[in-house]
Parts: sequence; C-alpha cells; structure tokens
Amino acid sequence: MALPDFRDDGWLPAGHHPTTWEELVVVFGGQPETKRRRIMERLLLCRDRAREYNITGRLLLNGSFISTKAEPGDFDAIFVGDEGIEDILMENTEARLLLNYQVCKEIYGGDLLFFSAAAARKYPEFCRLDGFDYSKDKRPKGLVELKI
Amino acid sequence: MIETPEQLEIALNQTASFKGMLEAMQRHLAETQPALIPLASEGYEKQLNQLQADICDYLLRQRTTTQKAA
Repeated sequence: MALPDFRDDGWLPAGHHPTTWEELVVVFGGQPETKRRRIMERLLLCRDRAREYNITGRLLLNGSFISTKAEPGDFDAIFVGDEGIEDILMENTEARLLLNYQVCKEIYGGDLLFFSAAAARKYPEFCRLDGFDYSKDKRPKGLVELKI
Repeated sequence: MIETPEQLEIALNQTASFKGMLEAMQRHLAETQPALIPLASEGYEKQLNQLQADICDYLLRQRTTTQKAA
C-alpha cells in the first residue's frame, strides 16, 4: 500500500487513497517542532483516543495537511464509524466528545464530519462521500483513507 | 471564494453531498439513537453554512458586475 505521487499543484491525484498510519507519518509527519508535526501529533492523539473507546471505522482525510504545503492549516475529515458505533457513543460521554465538532476543532485541530456505516447501508442514495473531493479552487483532488 | 461558474457548480455539488450525508445520518439516528442527532449534525451545518455563504457572495458579486455593465 503506497500513496501515489503528488501532482504539480501539491495535491494527490483524484480518488480516495488507502494508506497506513505508518505511511501517513512518513509522508505527512514533517519535521520536529513544525506546525505539520504538531498537526500529526494531534491527529495521532485523536486516533489513540478513538481506539481507547473502541471506536472503529474509516477516516477520510482532507485539507492542506495532506498536500505538499510546508505549513498546512489543518485537516478536515469524514469519519465513517463502523456498525454499532451509536451504542458506544451513547454509553460513553468521552467518546461522544471525541466526535463533537467544536471539541475536535479545539483539541485535535481538525474539522470532523461524523458518518456511520449503518446510515450508508440504509441510505446509499445519500452517501456520496465526495464532499471533500475538490480543492478550494475547485479542482478534483485526492483524499487519504485510513482505518481506525 | 467562488470566482467562476465552474466553481459555483462544484460548490453546489458539495452542498448536495453534505446535505445528503446529513439527511442520511438524521434519518438513521431518528430510528436508532435520536439523542445523537445534534452531535452528528453540527459539522455538516458548519460546512453547509460556509458553502452557502460562498455561493451567495458569488451571486451577489455577479449581480453587481451585471448592473455595472448595464
């Protein structure tokens, strides 16, 4: 599993590209004491908290963090929780906070949209998952997909 | 910022995508865990508000440009 080469405009080619956390750190982790490294550390913290609460699913990563930009602003993400995530969230306040938009922005430094695999199964006609497939100048671009 | 008709079209598609996902989540949670609807909705609402503001801004700028040309 390897990410494709970046385009000249700094984005990955169009598509959702599966990768591992190890490759993510190598490609996008940046140097120590940089903003890129701080974003990565907060993203890893978010992942670790999710694992701690037994939250599993797919994370579609977007934003300048997954471009070649030296000083990225943030990450945006769509998290598609696996079947049964609703029960975990109802039972655990801290797990709910992990998916709270404002908390995620403040603590983990990202804009997170929460979706569920069960909703995708029941309402496939509504589930395009392509909302982040274009750059701010509206060009098609690639996203990075990870398992939590 | 939206500057061309092509970018407007993409913004409208993004709006449709996020609205669809929000609708699916709200319908699903209404059947399973309604208490989670506010949690799931907030991020989509923020994204949609931003997109709609960009679209309105573009349309208003277009109107001004058209009026000046006339």
